[in-house]
Amino acid sequence: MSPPSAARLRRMADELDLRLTDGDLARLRPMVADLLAVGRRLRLKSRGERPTPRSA
Amino acid sequence: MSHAHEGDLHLLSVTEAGGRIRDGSLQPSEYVAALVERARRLDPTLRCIVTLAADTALVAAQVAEDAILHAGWRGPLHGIPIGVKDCIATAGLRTTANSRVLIDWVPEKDAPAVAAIRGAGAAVLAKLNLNEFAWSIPTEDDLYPPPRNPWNLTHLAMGSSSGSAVAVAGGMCPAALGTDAGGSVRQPASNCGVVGFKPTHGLVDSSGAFGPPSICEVGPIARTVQDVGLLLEGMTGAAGYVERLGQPLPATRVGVPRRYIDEAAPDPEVEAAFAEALRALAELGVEIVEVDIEGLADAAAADFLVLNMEAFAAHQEMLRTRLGDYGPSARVYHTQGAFLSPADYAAALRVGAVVRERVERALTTVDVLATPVVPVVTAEDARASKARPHTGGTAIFTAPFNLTGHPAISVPAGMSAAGIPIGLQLAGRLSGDADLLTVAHAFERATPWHAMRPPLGAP
Repeated sequence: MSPPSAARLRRMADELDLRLTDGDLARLRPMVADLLAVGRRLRLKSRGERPTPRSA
Repeated sequence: MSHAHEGDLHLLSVTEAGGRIRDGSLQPSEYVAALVERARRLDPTLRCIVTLAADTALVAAQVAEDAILHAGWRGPLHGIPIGVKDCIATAGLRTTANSRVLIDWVPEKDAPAVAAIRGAGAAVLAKLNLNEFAWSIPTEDDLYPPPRNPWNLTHLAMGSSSGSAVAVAGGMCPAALGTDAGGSVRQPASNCGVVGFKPTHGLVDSSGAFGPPSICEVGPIARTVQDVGLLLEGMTGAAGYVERLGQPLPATRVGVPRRYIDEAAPDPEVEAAFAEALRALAELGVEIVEVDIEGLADAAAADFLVLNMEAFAAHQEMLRTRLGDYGPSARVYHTQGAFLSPADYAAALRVGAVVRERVERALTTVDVLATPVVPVVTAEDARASKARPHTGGTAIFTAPFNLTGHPAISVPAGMSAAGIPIGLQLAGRLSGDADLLTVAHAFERATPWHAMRPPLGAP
């Protein structure tokens, strides 16, 4: 998965009122890309998997 | 009058010190004074202490001494000095989490785990260094620079409970409390040649500590499994974690998730130590069987999604108002969760539920699971960007059990060519903490690694 653009991260950070520097965002881009890829993979895999419901 | 050799006091385990305090051959104030002196001498090199509570620890030791004299000995923690990771609240004692955000914070209340061990008679000797807020890559310009590994001072210690493991390995306190959300008790314990235990989720009240609440436990670090059991009894107020240790090991089956371990491609020295540990278990009469638990690697990754989202949720207000007071890594690490979605979080929790069930099923056919603790040997390798520490790359063996809630322990199991210890991880059934400690104790007694001490010279 390609890293989210710096502009997208900047927009999201601004919406959350996080005053991150350009250096922070540059460091965050590949880290967030890794995590988004993990999340996407887990969402796809877990669609077919459900834990056994606990009895009441 | 003491019969103890003052020069050896730093070598005492909790069990040994408690025995001497009980029989009157060691006074708590004498013990605390010796450890304070050692801490003052060694900490400028080891850098494991944020706050040395010498005065209050000596007062607590004197109170314990008087109480033992006039009201009797309360138990094995009475008069024992303990270190506490500096992200765990201590009443009246500064708690910084190694962050400039909390540089002057003095909590009004103890975290429940600290209150419990103080209630059992222990004294808080020091607040111990850590990765900032227990979720960061440490650097020299942190509020307190990262602890050095006492076994090889050219290396740092693994985190995040680095100071807790270094203080115990370095003989500054016989035991310490840490926190573990992905391996932060077990990894530094492995890296420093001591025992680190993450209890079943919820067994110890872990509130009052900075850590993601769904996956984080307060856990003990000590030099022996028995000491870890004593700390667990102190924190839970329940007996039964120590009494069975030392009894003959019942018929035991240890499951090895071989495919999962091989896919993680551990360092050859880690692989060799693990193979040797399995041989030692087999010589104890333990049956070693391979198990296949699908999804353990997914659980490790999912644990770090949960960690990141809960870390951001806890810190978002402070990140908005105090961003400049976070270290350069901590501010980035704690912000990652801002860019993830509730769907990611839900998927991660779902993975946890599925894999929890699979691990429990596997543990109906074996008594415990065995894996290495960390796939690399040094803290520097664990922190390298290629190891992807922000998504838990080097927590591949430890983090699954945070997400599933199973108890897991690291016990010393080998030594690398660089002179840095290597641990063995054993994981047990949910609420099977006592059974797990029994197997870990048998392994410890059958191997030499726990008896080694780092080359720090005479006291």
